[in-house]
Amino acid sequence: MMRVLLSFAFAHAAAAADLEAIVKNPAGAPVAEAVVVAVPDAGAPKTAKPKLEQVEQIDEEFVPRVKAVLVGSPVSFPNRDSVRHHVYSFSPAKHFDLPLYVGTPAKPVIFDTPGIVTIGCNIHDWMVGYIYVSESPYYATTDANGVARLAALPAGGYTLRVWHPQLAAPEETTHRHAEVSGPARMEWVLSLKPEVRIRRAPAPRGGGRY
Amino acid sequence: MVRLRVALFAAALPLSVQAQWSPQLEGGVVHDSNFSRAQHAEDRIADTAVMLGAATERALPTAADLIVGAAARLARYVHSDGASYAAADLTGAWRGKLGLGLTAPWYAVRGSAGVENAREEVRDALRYAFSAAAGRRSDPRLEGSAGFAYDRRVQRADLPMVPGFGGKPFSLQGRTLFARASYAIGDDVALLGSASVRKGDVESSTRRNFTIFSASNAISTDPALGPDFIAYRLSGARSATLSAGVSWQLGRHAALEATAARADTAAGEGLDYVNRIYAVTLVYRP
Repeated sequence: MMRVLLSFAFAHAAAAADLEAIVKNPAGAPVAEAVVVAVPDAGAPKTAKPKLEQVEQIDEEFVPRVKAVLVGSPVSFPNRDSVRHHVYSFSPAKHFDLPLYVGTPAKPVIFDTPGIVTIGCNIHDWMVGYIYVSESPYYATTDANGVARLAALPAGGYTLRVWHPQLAAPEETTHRHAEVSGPARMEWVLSLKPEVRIRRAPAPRGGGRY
Repeated sequence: MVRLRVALFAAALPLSVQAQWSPQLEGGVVHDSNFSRAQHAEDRIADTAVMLGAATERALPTAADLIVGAAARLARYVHSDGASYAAADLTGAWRGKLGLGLTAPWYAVRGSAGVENAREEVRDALRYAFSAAAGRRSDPRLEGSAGFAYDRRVQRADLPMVPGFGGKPFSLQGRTLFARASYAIGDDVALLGSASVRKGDVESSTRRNFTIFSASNAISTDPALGPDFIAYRLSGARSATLSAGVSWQLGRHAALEATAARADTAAGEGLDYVNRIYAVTLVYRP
């Protein structure tokens, strides 16, 4: 089930406006780590420049777990742990492999194809993260309150969409069109699939019997 | 100046060599319904041990798949205090994956050598173990593995009791084939199961018993279990063990594991015995 509510808090002819996106589940609970993207009707502006992004490994988890970046962005994967990580992806949008390392790899990985890139660690199977490579520079990720703020959207028409790692329906079902001319608020209600995560519980090494 | 040189050397190391030791602590309780490994009811002694362990390991700087480690363990038996021991091991392992991804098959070859000092001298031993295993996770919930293990225990003191018989009944070796599986039934809980068959030497402690006496090839006293208990070594025994358990994940760094196992041992000449072993272990990995 997907439902969209659109309301304009103010309607004035501003050149740029903020859009507040609120994402909830059917029970009304906020959904964090959802990526909200606004694609201008006129196409993504060519002036937007990718910048260096990073996804850290902290306490054997990817931080942030969901990271949205502009297509073409270089992303570094600093390892803040004392153990080695082996970060990889074989998602269609990006294949890469950073063999065992600590510290920060010398070269960032460039994400040059829009799409969703699932990343993992080949040593610690429970480590899973997602890089959402957006063709539009207008994107944001929801916080713990299920709120994402797309700041300074130029006035005009946009196709907005939402993606989440557990999204039950195809991302296309979240597409909505909106004319943005002032501060606005949109709300999505998303059904999410249960998440099956690999346990990271340590196992006893045990003693010997004879 | 020396500190400065060390710091400069460390800074010059490639990133891959700076990984640190990974410690793990564990504590638990193990109950064995037949700690004496005796056939007859009058010789069976059930006992419970409190276990504490600490281990650490790290990858070698020059070969990422090679792991070295050390472990220490204390066990205190409630009734048979003479069997209480302290042990320390050095371990080496070679492990990795055949490919990328959570469903890629993995392999692990592990060896260890250690020393075990019990309160009773007859149980002091050097211990060696080797295992090779391979496994695969078929999806995020289910993982299975199988492998081979070799264990060797060398009793340190030769304490002969009967002329013509060796005095090291706790010098044992065996070979084991095993299979294990785990299935996660939620975010925090997993079911565990394993089966194994071991062929080799076993030690059985009983009161004087002619059948086991004639089947054994090393005999000594076993005061840990009582003044009238004798330790016999039986060779060529086959032990089949089935184990089931559950593991609860407690946050990111700890787990509580409870297992129950039944081991049926057939040592030939009608000498059979059964162990039922229950263990609860709390594991913490910082």
